[in-house]
Amino acid sequence: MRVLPVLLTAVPLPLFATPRGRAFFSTDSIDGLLFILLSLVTILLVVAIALKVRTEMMRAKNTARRPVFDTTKFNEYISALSSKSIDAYLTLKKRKQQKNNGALKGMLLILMAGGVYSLPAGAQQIDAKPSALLQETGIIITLILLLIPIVAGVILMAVKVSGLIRRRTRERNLEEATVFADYLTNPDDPVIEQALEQRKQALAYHLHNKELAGEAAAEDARGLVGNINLHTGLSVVAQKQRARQRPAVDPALSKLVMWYLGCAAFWLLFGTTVGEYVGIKFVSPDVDHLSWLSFGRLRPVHTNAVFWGWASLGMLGLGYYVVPRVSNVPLASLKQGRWSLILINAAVILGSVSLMAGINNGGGEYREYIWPVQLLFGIGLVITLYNFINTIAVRTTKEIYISNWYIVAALMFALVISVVAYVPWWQDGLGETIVQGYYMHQGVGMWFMLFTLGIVYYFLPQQLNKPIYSYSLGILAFWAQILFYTLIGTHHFVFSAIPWWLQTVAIVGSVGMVIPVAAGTTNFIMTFRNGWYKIASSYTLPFFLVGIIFYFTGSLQGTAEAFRSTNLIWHFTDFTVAHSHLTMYGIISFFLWAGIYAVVPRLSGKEAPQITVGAHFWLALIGLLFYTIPLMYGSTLKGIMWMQEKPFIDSVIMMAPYWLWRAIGGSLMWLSHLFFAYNLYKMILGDDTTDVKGAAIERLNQSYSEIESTL
Amino acid sequence: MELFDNHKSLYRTAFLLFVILTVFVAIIPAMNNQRNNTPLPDAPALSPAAVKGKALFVSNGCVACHTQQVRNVDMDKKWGSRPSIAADYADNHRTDFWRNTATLMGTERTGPDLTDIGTRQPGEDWHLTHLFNPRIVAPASVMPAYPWLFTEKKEAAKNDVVVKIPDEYKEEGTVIVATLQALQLVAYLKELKQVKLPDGTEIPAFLYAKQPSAANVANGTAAGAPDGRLYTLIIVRAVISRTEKD
Ligand code: HEM
Ligand code: HEM
Repeated sequence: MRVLPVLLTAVPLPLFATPRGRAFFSTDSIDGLLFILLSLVTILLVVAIALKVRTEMMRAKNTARRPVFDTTKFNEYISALSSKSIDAYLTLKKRKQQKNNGALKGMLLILMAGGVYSLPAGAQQIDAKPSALLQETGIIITLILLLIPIVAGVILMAVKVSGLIRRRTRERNLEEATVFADYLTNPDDPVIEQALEQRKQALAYHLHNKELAGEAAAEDARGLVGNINLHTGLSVVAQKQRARQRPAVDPALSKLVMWYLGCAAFWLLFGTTVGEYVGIKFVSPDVDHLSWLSFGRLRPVHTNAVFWGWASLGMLGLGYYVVPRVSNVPLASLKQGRWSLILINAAVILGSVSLMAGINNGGGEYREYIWPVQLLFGIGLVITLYNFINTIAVRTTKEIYISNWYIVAALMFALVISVVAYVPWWQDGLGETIVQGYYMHQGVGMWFMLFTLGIVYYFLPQQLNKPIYSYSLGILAFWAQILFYTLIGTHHFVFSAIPWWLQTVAIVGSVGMVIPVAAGTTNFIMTFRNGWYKIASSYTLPFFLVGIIFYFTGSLQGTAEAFRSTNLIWHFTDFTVAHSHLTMYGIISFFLWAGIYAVVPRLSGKEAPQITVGAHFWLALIGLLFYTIPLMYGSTLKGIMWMQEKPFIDSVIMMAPYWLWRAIGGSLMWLSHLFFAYNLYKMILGDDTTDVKGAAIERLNQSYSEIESTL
Repeated sequence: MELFDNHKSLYRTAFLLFVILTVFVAIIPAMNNQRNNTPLPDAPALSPAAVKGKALFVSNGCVACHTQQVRNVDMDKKWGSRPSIAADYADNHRTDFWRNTATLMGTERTGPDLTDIGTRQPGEDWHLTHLFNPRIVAPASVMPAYPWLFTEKKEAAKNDVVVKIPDEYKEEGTVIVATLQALQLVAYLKELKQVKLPDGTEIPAFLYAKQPSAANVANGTAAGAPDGRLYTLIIVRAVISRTEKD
């Protein structure tokens, strides 16, 4: 009840005083907007409170662990022993324990924690006009988009916690029964003993628990029992379903795929270690004074290593599994696959070293590698494309499964983009910049996004064990993506000296991107339909879900950024960096992890410990939110300061806390990658005791002996 | 559909669609742009030292934090006396066999825009001290220090350029001397100046629609541009599309 006044003061009272002649809920009214936001926050709060209450309940139950029986009172009951009175006794006892006292205690804490985000360090210097700002469509879209992943995170957490609680309650009941039974079988009182003896006999007369099972040892002829969990402790992560063993994959192909994924993981570690270090340099610019490690040189090392090393190799690795599988034929050439891997790795190694040595292509983002280095990468792609097309050409299915549309198209387009970007004939003066805009955006949209969508179209239905919701929606998204995405490169240079019409085309295309994004998201979400419950028992589906959410929010954030009004505020600020990570990390990396956790256990027959998979997931997600949300907030303030023509250095000083948040979030993300690397190691090289089949048999044996001993 | 069950026709269709769009949104605009623009008449070519300095600017990745573009918006007024136009970049060509053109427009302003830094900060001393460690002159700066562009000596030789560095930033009893590279980089920075528009011609008023003060700049330029009309045409072309802007 203490909460009520707090809540009341939090509600801005004028909110309810609707100005005359104006609809309360009109979208251009601040009150209406605030109302929407406030309702969303309220929903969040309610969920948080509900969670809190349930957790308290659980704690209360746990503190009453191993109840000691009050024997005198108990004796009274037992002297009049009957099944009814036992029942009554038990329920009474249970009720007492369930009474939750002070469950609402922690709620103030939650409220206070919520306030942290509304703590703009240095906001005093900024006399922003929030009302005008809040009316910008782009800002509104962003605010709403921001809430989506947070809400989803809370819901996911709620699902997990309530699952845990339910399980715990069941265990708890069992435990009580055990204690009670213990007491019944070992009382000191001979009278009770006698009574119990009779009771026992009576009960024994009814049941000896073998009527149905019979005397023979239990048998699980089909290997269906594999998920028995009898340990009673409160586990940190819920036990998830284990990967299902699938028809054998050619061991040579398995090895190739695992090499790709292993190299990708290496570049993820390398690239994000560099990224983390680069992030630290914003907080402490004097950590080192070495030319090879200076910010300007390391930044492209980070971006290129995660682009061409991590994301590209990760995608290709999964592609090498998906393409032959959906064509129902073996891969055309394993040898070519190996060459491709070697060339791409060589490109990233040489490229990173040369960037650190100060050799780069001239400043266009993501084409910092000089052409001889990028050429290696290009040849790698040509080989892979050739290999994939040869595989698909001899497919035994009539249709070409949608995954192969996306994957092959991505490879073709990536090659076109690279050629356009590296050929010198149209790169004088602003020609370079026009090509840069095109290259940069096709790189992320036509290479990473298209390829990754192909991977999702295979793995998501497979992990949900049902077909994709709509095949034609996937095809619509495919063509719409090509049409609109190709147009939008110049939105990186809004207001610049690039032809105005080209900028306008880019902005229009950016809005058009809503079509493929909405189509894709709908398709994925509808595929989940009736299968949501599976999330709680799967460790790959949460990765998919996060990827889908960021696919929607991250891409639409891009649309919001492209409007001239919002671009004015956000362009050149760290907002772009937040967007880059929401997309390249939130979408691409999460989808890749999802695919990797789905496929590697099939190839190797080994699984990663579920607790470290959970650690990877939560650290990456929470880290990403810590990284991006403060950065978006800070960069909005920065843009406003620029518009108010404050001294530039003031905006640098103002950003300090947000850069610190970025470093903190980045550290969590980096830590999650260590867990990922460990998991991958366990899945590929881990010892054989985690072999799926072996472990299942072991578990079966164990559970039988436990069941037998209780009989 | 038949078309889509044949991998050849499917992939060819997608490929063609993409290539055609590419030609129209990237290649043709890029080629037009390079064909239709020449540098402004008053634009001096970079000195040889500055050319080397630009290469250092590129190789150290300064573009990661510094833009070189003044947009036609109010908040950019402080970075130059007029908005940048396509002609300003027209003199950028391929660097060498290995390296692409570097217009260095940039995409992020972690640090200030440098289009007109030569006007804003003409002092060599300031630049050298700032490069040695930015926090000497701007305590809140997050820019990296570039000490490897300097040497620490016991005593300066006759022709050495000694940089003024406070004691807490160097070993006691030493002097900090700028290397040739540091001087080249500074030469480049000093030559980064916005070129005045040619005089004696009509002022493309729409350029300054939002910036009345900037018109003075164009009025104040020296007379005698060789062929003002031609260059106005270039400028007009470069910004023609902006007229559509409200
Ligand atoms: C531990 C995780 C990571 C950290 C700490 C990190 C940190 C950073 C930092 C500090 C920057 C420079 C920002 C600036 O110049 O203002 C950056 C840029 C960038 N990073 Fe990361 N990063 C991480 C992971 C990743 C991953 C996994 C990807 C992609 C798959 C990625 C893609 C990028 C891109 C594309 C940029 C350029 C952003 C832009 O120009 O707008 N990062 N990152
Ligand atoms: C509807 C789709 C999208 C739209 C309309 C969009 C729009 C934008 C815009 C306008 C910018 C430039 C912001 C500025 O410089 O002020 C940008 C930057 C960026 N976007 Fe997107 N985006 C979309 C989806 C994506 C996706 C799916 C990815 C990644 C897979 C992505 C990755 C990036 C990256 C890495 C940058 C930073 C580029 C740089 O370094 O300057 N975007 N996007």
